[in-house]
Amino acid sequence: MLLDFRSMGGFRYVLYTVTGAIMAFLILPILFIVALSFGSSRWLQFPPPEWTLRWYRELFERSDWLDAIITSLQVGVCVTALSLLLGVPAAFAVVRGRFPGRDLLNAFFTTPLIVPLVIIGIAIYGLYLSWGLAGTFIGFVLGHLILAIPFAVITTSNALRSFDESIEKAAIVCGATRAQALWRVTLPGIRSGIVAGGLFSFLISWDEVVLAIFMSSASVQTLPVKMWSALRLDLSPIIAAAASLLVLLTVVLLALVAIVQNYGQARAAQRKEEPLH
Amino acid sequence: MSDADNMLELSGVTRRFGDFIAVDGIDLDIARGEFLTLLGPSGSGKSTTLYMIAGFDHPSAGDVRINGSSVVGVPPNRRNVGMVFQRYSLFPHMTVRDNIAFPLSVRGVPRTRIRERVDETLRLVRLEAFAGRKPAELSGGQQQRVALARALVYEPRLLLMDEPLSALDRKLREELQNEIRALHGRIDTTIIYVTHDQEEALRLSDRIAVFNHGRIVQVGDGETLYRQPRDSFVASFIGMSSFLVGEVETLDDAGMDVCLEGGETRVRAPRCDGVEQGAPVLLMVRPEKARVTEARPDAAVNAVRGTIREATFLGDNVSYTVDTADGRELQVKDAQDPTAPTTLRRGAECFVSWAVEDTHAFADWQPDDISQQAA
Repeated sequence: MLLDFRSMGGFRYVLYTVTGAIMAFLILPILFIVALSFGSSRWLQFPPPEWTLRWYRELFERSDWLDAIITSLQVGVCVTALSLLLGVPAAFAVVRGRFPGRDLLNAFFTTPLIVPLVIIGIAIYGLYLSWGLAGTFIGFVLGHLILAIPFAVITTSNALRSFDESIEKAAIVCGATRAQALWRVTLPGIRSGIVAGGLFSFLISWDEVVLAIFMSSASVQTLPVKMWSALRLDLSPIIAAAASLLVLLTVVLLALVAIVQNYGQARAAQRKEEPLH
Repeated sequence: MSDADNMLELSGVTRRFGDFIAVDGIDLDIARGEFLTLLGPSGSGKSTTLYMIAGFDHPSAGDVRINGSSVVGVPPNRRNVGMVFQRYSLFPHMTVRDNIAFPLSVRGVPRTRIRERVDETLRLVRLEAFAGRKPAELSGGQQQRVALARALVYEPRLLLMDEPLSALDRKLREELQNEIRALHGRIDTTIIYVTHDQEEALRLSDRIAVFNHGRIVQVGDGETLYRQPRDSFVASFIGMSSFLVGEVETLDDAGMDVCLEGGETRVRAPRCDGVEQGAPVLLMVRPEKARVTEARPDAAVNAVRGTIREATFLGDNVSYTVDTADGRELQVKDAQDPTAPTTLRRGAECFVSWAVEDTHAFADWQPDDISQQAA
């Protein structure tokens, strides 16, 4: 092979260095903020003079921060549920449906990924003012839902496309009704796609800040919005702690997605190597 | 024409897709306990017919009766038929045991009874040791045995199989053919089997229905189809065959004299339906009925002059490909004296001869029928 790793000789070390530099570039800001969240300096001094957990304690003790975390979780859970409730049937329509304009509809479901966030934000702002949704819990959920649905539709329809339809037919010929076949065979069969869609939906909502800024009010604030406003008022290391928390949950959920999607394959591969008797 | 012994009756079954007629007025009766194969090239309508029996597709005209009562409009889950698909179609998230238990579970069979019945069926397909595995952890042959078990566990009155072995390699395919055949002997289920493989059809079936262009051309046991093909399509699709084209010169009660293209050779053939004097006719000979000789054989047998293109020693026979002067190709499988193929080598002039009664004649044929040589 042209790019065989072993035949590269000294060039290999150049490759190591460049790859290392790119990884550092990507991850250093995050490590920096995590380090600051454990630093004792009130003024985000770096390197931290001493280490402390004080900012985490304050994050969970001060009701304004705690409320923001709880709001974020609540919004995230609602967005996830609604996104799947709407996205999974939409995926079925787009993959299994036979109607004119199906491909157009498929493209339409992904438009929120292409339209600049700011434009959606402005549109929502105008609409919510006249509907009285600005800054309400429902307002947050609906706004985030716009961004989350494409992910639910895409992951579910991908899973559905690779799911052999004759498996569902087999269930029906075995005596199952359409509903039983769907519930007991097809949905479990595309489970990994649905779970991934749900996790992505949650993550979109969890760290969404642009739309949230357009409609935040004093009463309902998600964690990213709270951080944003705290940043403008005073530069407290609690922000660093909150940021670390955001990153932690994101990493955990993404790891979960990876595990869910790889689990089945890894298990099958492992079992196949065992002798067959 | 309902008959109590018929498990399945198709009468005038037609399926149109827009202007295209996929299945064109099929009549077929299948007896209880019979193993019947729908054989034909792809696109001949055999799979569409099977899907109409299963209930996934619906006839545009005609009637499908199972056990004497029409099932048109009855959904597949209420027909109590079993089906095995080409690509196994097992439930990927369930274990082998749960896959096989599924049909019983949706029927609300009590749990202990399901357990017994699944164990029995696992034994039937010899998969007891794999009950706890997921489909992805099995080989192709094992997966298809699970699919078979899942289709048999609820004792359906009719078992449909849609090219179930086409994804397997040759050795495994033959192994499973034997197993299916043995299984059919042990349980008395009626089986309708779809394949494009004529050898598989011959090996498995009690009767074969040969499909071409949406119609059933001939129904019969393998021997009848091979020895008395009704038309040139059946003749070319089942077994090996050589074809010659000629013109009817004289016609009498016993047979006819045919002048082959080129005008030099005359052969005699049994009379066939629909021929007239002066009309073109297609002749067919099976390779094992023909001989290759150096000298011209006596006048009582048919003989055609040719050049040997290929002579292959195959142990129990010698297989020849002979080109005639008119550009036809004749296959000969000579099992008479395979140890001494000394003189008849490539490029040698020879005569291909066969008995008059081994000549098949067809008055009607399509040019692509005779190029339909079985794979």
